[in-house]
Amino acid sequence: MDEHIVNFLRGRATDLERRRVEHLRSSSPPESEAEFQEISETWTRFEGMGDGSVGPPPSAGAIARAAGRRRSRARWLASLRSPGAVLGLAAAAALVLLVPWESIGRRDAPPTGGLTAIATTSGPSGMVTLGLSDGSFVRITRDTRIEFPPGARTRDVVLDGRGFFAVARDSIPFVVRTEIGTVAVLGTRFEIDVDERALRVVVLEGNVRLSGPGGQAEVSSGQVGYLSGRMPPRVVGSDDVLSLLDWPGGLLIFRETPLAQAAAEIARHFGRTITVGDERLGRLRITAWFGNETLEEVTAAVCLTVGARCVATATGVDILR
Amino acid sequence: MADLDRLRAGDEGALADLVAEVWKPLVLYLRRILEEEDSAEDAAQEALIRFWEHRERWTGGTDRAVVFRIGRNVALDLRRRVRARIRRAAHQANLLAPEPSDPERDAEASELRSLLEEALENLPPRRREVFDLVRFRGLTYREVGEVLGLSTQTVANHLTLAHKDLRRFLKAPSGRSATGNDATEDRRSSDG
Repeated sequence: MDEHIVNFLRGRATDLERRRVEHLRSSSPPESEAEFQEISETWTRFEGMGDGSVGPPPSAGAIARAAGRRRSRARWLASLRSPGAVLGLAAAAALVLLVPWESIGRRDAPPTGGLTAIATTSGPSGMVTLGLSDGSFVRITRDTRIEFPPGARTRDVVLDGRGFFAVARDSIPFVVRTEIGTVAVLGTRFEIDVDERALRVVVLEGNVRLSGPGGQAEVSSGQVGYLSGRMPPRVVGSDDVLSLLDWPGGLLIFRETPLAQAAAEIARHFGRTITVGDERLGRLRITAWFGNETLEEVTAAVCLTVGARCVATATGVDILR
Repeated sequence: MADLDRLRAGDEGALADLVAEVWKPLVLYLRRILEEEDSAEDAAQEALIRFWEHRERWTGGTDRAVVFRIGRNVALDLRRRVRARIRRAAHQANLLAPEPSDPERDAEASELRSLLEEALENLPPRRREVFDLVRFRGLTYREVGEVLGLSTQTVANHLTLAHKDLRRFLKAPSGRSATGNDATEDRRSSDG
């Protein structure tokens, strides 16, 4: 259908377009006029159909401020990637950091002056994984904004969006602050998903304290906590918290995690079987994050770190002393 | 229409003009993709933020077409994520108090589901989208082409077919099964 007919029907035709439509209607074949009438009738019948009420638009200032925050975040992330600003980037570039728990023990020196990100790597769908100055890792989605307030007395993070945290154990609390409430921990792994209305925390390992205007609640491994408005926090158990963590490319991030648990998550991620030889081996702790590595690469790195042997089997991998 | 050069230069006055012009048609267009009122407004706002965030990038075309294109991508992405989160929503549904239903609103919504709406829903998706953008949102063929990645001739073809489908549907006694809702025809008209 020619656009000048549409513009004519909209009442926005130029003189030339109007003349073209009139010419079309008056010229042969005579079916042209009938065709035009049918188009016109159909067009008219849908008058007002696509209309509806919508809420007021956001102000230009609010849009500009939101966009400005994202631009500053992008610049900040870019600055972290510059050679002079990034510490430990070589390790991060390998996408794997592995340190056996037994070899590093607890941290003695608490962080001072607030957290900083010392390494970043990008992942699928615009995800970014940050290595923090206290040894914790954070993985955030593309549109998530995260800040580390300088001079904080606790390990403070301000989050707006979705982040998975693998927090290094320390006597100084690690506190994630959001518009809805806060999540405080000492050392654990958990995911926070927050928007302007509600917050959800899924705890994979350890415990967190969820605080909001309606009160506080402890959320433990295998539980999910919710905060919304001024309602008291709700905490429920889940048979399968891993199924709630639907991150692009999966989520293999460990922070001082027992090998037995890490092996179970790796097995689930790849849909294979991973057997850990004995209980003592299973209690060794590993710290690592993975990106797009294969099962063989992941298990090889794990075995190397804990001083074990990886043996391929028909269904997966055995980790043995 | 706001001036793309002024927008690229960071003129917030031009941004205000653009928001005033596109907000309502954009929300209504995204609502058709998302079938959800609140999400459509969120998606429209997200589109405007992304437009402004990367404003130096946009060259060629009109500001309106760029915003609609971004909005469409945001909405499609959101729709995909919503599907991925169905399991999570089901889990959460057990925890949060259910929203009380509003019988009056439900009845009203039912009444509003008119024959015309049904005719539109029976169009093949791409054809419906072209019709929506031209008929209801006031976009030019070129702008629709920029939003959907089609040539203007293909837009014109889609619109011709949409009109034929709608006419057939509205003339059919029961309304139903009268449109050319077949993939072959849709593919042929998209080739341009």
